[in-house]
Amino acid sequence: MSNDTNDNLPDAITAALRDVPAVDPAVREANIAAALGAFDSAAEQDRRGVVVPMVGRRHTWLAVAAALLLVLGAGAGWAARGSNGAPTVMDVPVSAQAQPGTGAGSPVDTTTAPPAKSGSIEVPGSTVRPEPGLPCASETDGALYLGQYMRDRVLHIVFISDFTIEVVRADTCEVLAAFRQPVTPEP
Amino acid sequence: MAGDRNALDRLLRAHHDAIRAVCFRIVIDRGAAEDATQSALMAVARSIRRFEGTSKFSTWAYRIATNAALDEVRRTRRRPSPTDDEVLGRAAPHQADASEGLVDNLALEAALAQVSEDFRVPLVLFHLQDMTYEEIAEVLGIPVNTVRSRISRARGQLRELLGNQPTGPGRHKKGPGEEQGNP
Repeated sequence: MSNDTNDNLPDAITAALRDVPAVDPAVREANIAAALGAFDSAAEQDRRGVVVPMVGRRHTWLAVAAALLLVLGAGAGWAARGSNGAPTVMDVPVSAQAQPGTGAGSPVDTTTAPPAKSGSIEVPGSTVRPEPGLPCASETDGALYLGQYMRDRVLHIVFISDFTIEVVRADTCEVLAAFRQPVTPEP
Repeated sequence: MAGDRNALDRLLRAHHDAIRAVCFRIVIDRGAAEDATQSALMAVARSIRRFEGTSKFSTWAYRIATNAALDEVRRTRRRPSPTDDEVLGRAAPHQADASEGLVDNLALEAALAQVSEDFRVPLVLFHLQDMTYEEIAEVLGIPVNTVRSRISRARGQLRELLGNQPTGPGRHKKGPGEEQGNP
């Protein structure tokens, strides 16, 4: 498709093309600072293993929070039904479930136990309350206790911190899922 | 970690002006071009850990810059821009300069604005960043022959818009197709 006429560009045009207006040094520094900030932010997210959803919409965040509350409610209901018969795992203090190999199975007075960082959360039908020695608290430093539920006989704890909801498996302290609230750009 | 950051800092400083130049020539609007530059640099910084080194860093970075610039073009297009008419209207008076061997920056911007992005982007990468047809094809994800024909058409359009003038030796790299004598 090319021909001789179009294979070169006049020198004047080429020169003008390359003559990009000079950058203000302050703008350059600001651009680099912003980029390094983005790098730090990405590195921090990598370090924490935070999963950031691609679709950043506020309603996604709200939907996730609502779903978690639903799961908590269902778990509490299941525990309440189970307590009519044989003892369920939910009847066992948190410390006993979370550290099976340490012998830390002494019952905790759940009625007098001080609340966790966020204060205790009443789960209907459940006697379990968060306590200061909450499992995995060190792994979720600075996080706010949101709730807990049982699944496959394993306690799962839900924390929230820095606009991120994290679901942590209590026996291994493994972060199973993290849902980050999307950042809404300022208008 | 600190070493990574320092290395990135050096990389960004080394490539800042080139990335900005790409954004300037693709976006045209200067304010939007500055925004595109910052977006591109941030995208480079966020993705640097995923850079696998299979291509040159500059090729990879220009791909990101091109995408950021095209995003900005689309955003700018959605906004009512009273300056568009001004920019286009500036082209005619400056054509005389082109015939005298001088092309005013504003005239060039006005002319570039009339060349569609499909043609403008490969032209910019070729003449501004000295990229080969193959590198441009990799950046844009299009065949080498398409790159060559688009650059050729963009040159023709620019020459028309800025006034015909003698073609200098310029910079003409041969792509593989040309070396084999393909059209």
